[in-house]
Amino acid sequence: MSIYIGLCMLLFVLMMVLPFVPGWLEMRRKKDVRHLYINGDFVRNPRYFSTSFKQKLLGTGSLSILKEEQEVMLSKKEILIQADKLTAGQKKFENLVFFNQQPELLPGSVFHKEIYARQNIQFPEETLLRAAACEENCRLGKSSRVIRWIDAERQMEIAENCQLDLSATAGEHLLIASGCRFRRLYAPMIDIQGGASRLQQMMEIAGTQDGLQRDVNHIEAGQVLGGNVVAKGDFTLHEGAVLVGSLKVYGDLLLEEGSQIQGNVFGEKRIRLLGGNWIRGSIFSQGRIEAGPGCIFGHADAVESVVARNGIVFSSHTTVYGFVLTEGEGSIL
Amino acid sequence: MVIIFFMKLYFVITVLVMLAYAVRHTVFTYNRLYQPQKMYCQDILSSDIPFVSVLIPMHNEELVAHGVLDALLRCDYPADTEGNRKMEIVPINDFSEDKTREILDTYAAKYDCIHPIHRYSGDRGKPAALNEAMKSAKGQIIVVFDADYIPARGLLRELVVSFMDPEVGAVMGRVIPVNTEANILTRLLDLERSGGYQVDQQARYNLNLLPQYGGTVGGFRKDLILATGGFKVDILAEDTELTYRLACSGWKIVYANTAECYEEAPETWEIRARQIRRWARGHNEVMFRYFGTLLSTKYLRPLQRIDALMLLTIYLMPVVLLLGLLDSLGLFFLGEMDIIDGWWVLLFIGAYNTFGNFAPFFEVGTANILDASRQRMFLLPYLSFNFYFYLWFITQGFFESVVDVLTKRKASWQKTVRFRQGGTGV
Repeated sequence: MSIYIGLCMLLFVLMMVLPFVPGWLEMRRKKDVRHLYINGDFVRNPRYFSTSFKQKLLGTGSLSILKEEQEVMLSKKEILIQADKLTAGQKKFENLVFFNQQPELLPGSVFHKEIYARQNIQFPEETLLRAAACEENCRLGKSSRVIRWIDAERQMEIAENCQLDLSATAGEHLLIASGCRFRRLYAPMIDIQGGASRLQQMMEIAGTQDGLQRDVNHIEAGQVLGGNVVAKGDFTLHEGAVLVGSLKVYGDLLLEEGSQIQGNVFGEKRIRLLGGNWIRGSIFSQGRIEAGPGCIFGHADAVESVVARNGIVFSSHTTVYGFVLTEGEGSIL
Repeated sequence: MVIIFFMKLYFVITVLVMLAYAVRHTVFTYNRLYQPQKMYCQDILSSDIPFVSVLIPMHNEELVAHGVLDALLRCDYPADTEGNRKMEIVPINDFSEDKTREILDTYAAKYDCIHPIHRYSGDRGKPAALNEAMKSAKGQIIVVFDADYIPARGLLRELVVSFMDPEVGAVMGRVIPVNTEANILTRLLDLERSGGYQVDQQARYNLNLLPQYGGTVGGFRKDLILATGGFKVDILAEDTELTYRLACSGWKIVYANTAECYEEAPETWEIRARQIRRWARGHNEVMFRYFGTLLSTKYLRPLQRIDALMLLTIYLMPVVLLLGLLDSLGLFFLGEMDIIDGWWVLLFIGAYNTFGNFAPFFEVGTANILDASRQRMFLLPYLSFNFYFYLWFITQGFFESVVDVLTKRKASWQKTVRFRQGGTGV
C-alpha cells in the first residue's frame, strides 16, 4: 500500500514539475533570449525590390560591365552573364542577366533569374521572367508573365494579357493594357488602357470639411455635401454628387457616374465606381474595389493609394496617381 | 443558511465570469490563427500627410533622452526644412532635477523642429504635462512616446496614416520589450506583451471591437481631447480613460501591429508590483467613471459593448477571483462544496483553467507562433507565478481605486524606474 502511495506522490510531483522543465532548460541555454527583431531602418518603399536588387548588384562597386561572366553576391553567390551578344536563337537564360545595351530578344524567352538592363529593354510577347530592373524605359510584350517583380526607372509599358504576380513599378509613368492581372502597381502616374481623359480632370469644389456626419446614407444627384461622413450601412453618391471630405462606410459603397469624393475613402465591404468618378485622396477597402471606365484616383504631383483586400478591378481609361495594392487579384477589364 | 446560499451563488457567478473571459480569449486566439485578417491601412502610401506633434513627457530622463530624440530625428517624416516641415518634437521636461533640461535645450539649439517645454509649476505627471504641451502643439495629430522608447524610422508614418480614416480618433502601435535578456521577469513580461498585442489587440481590431490606446507608441486627434477638457489629471490611467472617452462618443481606436517600437520592461519584481498596482488603480478608476456611460452609449453595437465591458472590468477580475478562491475555501471547510454534480463539474474545471491558467496561455502561445519565436514558448508555465503575483497587487490597486472614488483622493503620478544606462539598448 505504501508503495502505491509513494508512486502516486512521485507521479504527482512529476506532473507538477515536468511542465517547468523545458522552460528551465531554455532559461539555462538562452536559445531564444534576444528581443524580437524590429527593423529600425524600415521605411515603406513601393519600389523596394528593385532598389534592394540594384543596391546588392551595384553597391559593392565590384560589377564589371566588360566581363562576360562573373560571380556576384546577392542572397547567395550567383553567376551574372553579360548578354549583349546573345547567342542566335537563345531563348532560355538560367543565370542572372545583365544587358548593357538594348537587346533583341525572341518571343517566348524564359529568364529564370533576375535581369538588369542599363538602357531601354523590350520583352517580346509571351516572355516569362522572374524579375527585371531597368534603368530607362521598359516594355513588356503581350501575354508575358512576371513571377516576382519588374521595375523601370522611367516608363514601363505593359501590353495586353500580362500576368504580374507580385509587383510592377516605374519611377515616372506606368502604362498597362487590358486583360492584365496584378497585385501591386506603383508609379507617380499609372494610366490604365490609355488613362483618363485629361479634359475630364479634377475640378475641386469649395466646401467645408469640418465636422463628422453619421446620419447620412446618400448624396442626391448633383448635390455637394461638405464634411466627413461615417455611414454604418450602405452609402450611395448619386450621379454627379460630390462629397467634399472623407468617407467611412461599413456597408457597400456605390459611386454613380460622375460623382466625386474630395477626400479619402474607407470601406469595410465592396466599393463600386460606375465610371467617370474621381477620388482625390486614397481609397481603402476590406472588400473589393470595382471601378468603371474613366475613373481618376489621386491627383497630380501627389502619391495616393488604391488598396483593397479582396481584389481590384479597373476598366479602361483610368488613371491612378500612386500606388495600387490588393491581397486578392487585381485585374483590368 | 443565507450566508451559505450567497457564498454558493458568488462561487457560481465567479465560475461563469471566468468562463466568459475564457471564451473571449479563445475567440481572439481562433481569430488570429484561422480567420481572415483585416488588411492594415498602414499599406496606404500617401504624400498628403498631416502635421504631427510628437510629445515626450520626461521626468529625470537624462539617461534615455538622447535615445528617443535621436531616433525621432532619423524618422522618415519631413522635419528638416521650414517650408516642408510636417513634424515637431515636443519633449516635456516635467519637474526634472537631473540634466534633462540641459540636454533638451542643447537639442533645441541644434534642431529647429525640437520645441521643449520646461514645467516647474502646476500639476505634476504625464496627463498634466500632455495637457500643457497640447496647448502650444502645432499639429492636429498628437503622437506620444515615453522617454525610454526607440521609434524606428518608419514608425510615425505607420501610426499617422490611420488618421486618414475620418472615424479614427486614436491609434495604438505595438510595444516590444528590448531588455529580454535581463532576467526571468523581463522574459515573462515579453511573453505577456506578445500575447497582449500580437493576439489580443490585433483580434479586437480584426473583429471591429475595441483595441486599447496604451498611452505611448500611439496617437490621437488633438481637438477631440482638448474639446473635452484635455486629459484628466486625477486619473492614473489616462490612456484607458482616453480609450473609453473616444469609444463612448463614437470614435474608433485602431491598432497598428506593424507600428512596432522597443520599450524597457521593469527588471525588478518590486517595480513591476508598483507598476501593475498603479495600472490596476488607474484602470479601475476609469471603470467606476465609465461603466454607466458604456452601457448607455448609442455608438457601440452589442458585441462591441460586451467586449468593451469585459476590457473595462479586466482589472476587477483578479479581485473577483481572489474572493472566489477564498469563498471556495470557506465552502470547502464548511462542507458545502456540493454545489453541482454530473457533467456540470466540467464547467468548474473549465473555470479553473481560464483566467489564471490556460486562457491567456492560448494568446501568448499563439503570439509566439506568429512571431516565429518558438523556444521562449517553453517559459509559458512560469506565467502562473505572475498570475498569483498580479492577483495580490492588482487587488491592492483595486481597493486603492475604491478609496480614491469614495474620498475623492487625488492620485499622484509615479514614474517607472529606468534601467538603461544610456544608449538605445537595441
